[in-house]
Amino acid sequence: MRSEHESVVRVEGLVKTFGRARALDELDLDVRRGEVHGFLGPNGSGKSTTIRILLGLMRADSGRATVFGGDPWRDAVELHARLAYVPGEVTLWPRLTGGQCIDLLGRALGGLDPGRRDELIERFRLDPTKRTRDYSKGNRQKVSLIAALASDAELLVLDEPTSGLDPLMEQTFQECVREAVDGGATVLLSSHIMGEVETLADRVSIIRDGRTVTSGTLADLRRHTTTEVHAVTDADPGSLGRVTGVDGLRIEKAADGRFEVRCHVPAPRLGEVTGLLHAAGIHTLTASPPSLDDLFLNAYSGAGAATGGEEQTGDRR
Amino acid sequence: MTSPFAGTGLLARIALRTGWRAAAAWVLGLAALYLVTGLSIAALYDTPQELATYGASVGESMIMLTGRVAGLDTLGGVMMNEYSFMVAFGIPVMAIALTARATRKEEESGRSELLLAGRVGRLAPTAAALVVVVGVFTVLGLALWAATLTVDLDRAGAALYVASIVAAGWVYAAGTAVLAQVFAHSRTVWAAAMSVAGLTLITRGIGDVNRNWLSWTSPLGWHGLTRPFGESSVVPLFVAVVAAAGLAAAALWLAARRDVGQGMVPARTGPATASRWRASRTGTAVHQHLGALTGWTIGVVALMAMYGALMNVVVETMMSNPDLAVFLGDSGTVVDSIVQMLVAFSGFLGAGFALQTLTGLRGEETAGRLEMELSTGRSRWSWLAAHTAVVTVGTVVVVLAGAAAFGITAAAVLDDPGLAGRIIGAGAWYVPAALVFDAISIGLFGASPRLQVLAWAPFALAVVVTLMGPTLRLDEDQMRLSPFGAVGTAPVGPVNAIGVAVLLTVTVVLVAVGLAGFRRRDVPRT
Repeated sequence: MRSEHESVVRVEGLVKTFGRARALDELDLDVRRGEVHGFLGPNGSGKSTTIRILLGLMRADSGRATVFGGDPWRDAVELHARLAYVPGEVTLWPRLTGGQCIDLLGRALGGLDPGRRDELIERFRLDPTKRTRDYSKGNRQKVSLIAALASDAELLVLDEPTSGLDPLMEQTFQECVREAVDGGATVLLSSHIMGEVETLADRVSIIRDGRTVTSGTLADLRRHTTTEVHAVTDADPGSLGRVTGVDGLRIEKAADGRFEVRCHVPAPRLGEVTGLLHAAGIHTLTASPPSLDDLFLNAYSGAGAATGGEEQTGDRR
Repeated sequence: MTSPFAGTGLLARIALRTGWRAAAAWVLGLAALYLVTGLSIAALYDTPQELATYGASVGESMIMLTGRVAGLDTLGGVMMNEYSFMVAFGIPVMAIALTARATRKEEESGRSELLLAGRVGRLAPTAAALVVVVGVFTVLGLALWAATLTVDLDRAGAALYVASIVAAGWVYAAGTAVLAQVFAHSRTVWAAAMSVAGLTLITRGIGDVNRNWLSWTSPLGWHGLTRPFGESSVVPLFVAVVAAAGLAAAALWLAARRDVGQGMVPARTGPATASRWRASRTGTAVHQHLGALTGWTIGVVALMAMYGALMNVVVETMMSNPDLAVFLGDSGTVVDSIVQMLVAFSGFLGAGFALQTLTGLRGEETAGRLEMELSTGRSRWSWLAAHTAVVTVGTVVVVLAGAAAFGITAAAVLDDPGLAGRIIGAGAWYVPAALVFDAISIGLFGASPRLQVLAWAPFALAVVVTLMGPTLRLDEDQMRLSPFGAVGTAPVGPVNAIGVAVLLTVTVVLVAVGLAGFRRRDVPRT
């Protein structure tokens, strides 16, 4: 099943406990070479713990985690030579300037491309002469991002890297990630910003309570969810109710004699449903795929709705 | 496999770049003090006869604090004895401060994590911290060595003396590095390391007074046992170096096996809700300082009770030595002078508590919690006033608890019930001296928060003046410039009522400046 691609990060059945608290409970994750992998989950679901294990900062209690095929705890330094990390909460040396901090981090990352460094400072509109104690959260994050992006790493591990950035900088960040991927990099991106994930991620993994709820491309996730269909037809498409998976069907007769139809349709049944609507004489038709927000809210809240094959029930709004 | 030490050099350079000021202040301060001690002692005792009188006058009284110094009939020995306060207190505190800052504080801030995600091995942060602190102590050694050249000392003795100080610093630094692996917060590391250091001071004190094996359990004991200006021995120096290496290895062994950002002791959970009291203005302030107050009080009581319990050994030794008794005339005065010194000690510790706790308020501000608290209905004035009140009460508690522990144990072992009351009463007079440092810190916090940390400077100066005033040949008026001198010399001599009044006035004015300044200034001022 996994023969057709190369995994950069591979995690199987990872368990990590802190005292009595079980932070990771058999978590799985697979990040393939050259992709942007969205890593999502509610607060406290174990994203940062997973990332710290992948960086060899923490050791798992059981399960298997590999980065570039190596053991992140044992081979930490070799693996770090090929990756760069940006945490969500960046603390710098308060007395040093932003530029000095970029260079310090760059040294730890094994050297930066000076041209790239200056270009990124320009693009992120960072004042590198300010002392970091005078920086806002977003500016501290820029320091860490610039160091990571200028380091020519094969794998970028980004843990909510844009939580303090303004929309303009968010745009710049997305461009930079795209360029890095075009240059051959792989990205593990933990984020709460749906637009960012939607734009960047090739595949996503959603975790909850330390366990992987679902994993796949956004198209995969959508395929297993339902589309909201709203149509006005000339005749009553009553036979819709017999299509498997169609749910929440409501047909009302409007004042002008037409029929107003609303229902939720699983993706594989869309053709059949539009056929029936067509037969009933379509006057207007809107079909809205579920927004990413809906997908994630479902997965986060534990409805299990986005998982493959399960039937969608109830109104999601 | 690359070395887990990869990046140690880079991290050491970062530590030096960001921490050289503190290191330089320690080295220069301690070396300058040794230089001044040397010059003033050399001028004071310039003949063998005078040196002989020094040896006789010291007697047993101070040994529990300063350790037993060999060769008191030599200039080097006299200087070692006069400087021993600085070694006993300065060296452990310097080691703990520099090491805790370079290890756990960096990790707590998240900076270590950022670097460890690069080409930096797991052991590099601990190794770099040790390299830097060990290096700083070596530089201190060179500075002290340079200072010994200004007076005519036995060269071999001076070398052994300086080496034994450096080695003691290494041991305390490596020990702190071990504790930094065990505890997840730098505050806890500080508290644990200071407790262990206090314990080594106590075991050295008991061992040196009784001339028994307990001296060998303490790095300060090893320092004294090298007897650089007496029948010198390098064995204790080797013991210290081996102990430092062993502790450093233990710190690295632990660092290789634990999660970054975590301690070895798992974090405990607490109640999910805050009681009405806990959420109130005063309740928040009390709880914030309660841990520190408890820690300081336990430490002060343990230290002072130990000294109280040792008082009978001091008196017995003096009684059993008729020559000494004759020389001193009245043994009571010697007992009194050490009693006064120890009561003043309670005052130092009270001020230390206040300064440490108030520096924490600044931490609240830089961490962003202060703006959150002030964005509620809580006024600035009431916030700072509540903390001032709580820390003031805490200072009084620490000073009086120390005096009480000392007084009660001393009264018990000397079978002199009246002594307890006299000592506790004397302790009360040192409260205004301690409170003045509360006020300096609060005044700076309100008026110029970035400079708040400078409140430690007058404190350090006052301690030095009080402990070393006679050595530095300060006269009585100069001694009174230290708040601890300004209150008089209770319980031995009279209380200086004017001094106390001045201190209280200064305290009130500085607190008012702090409160007024805090109402006007920007929050946060980072």
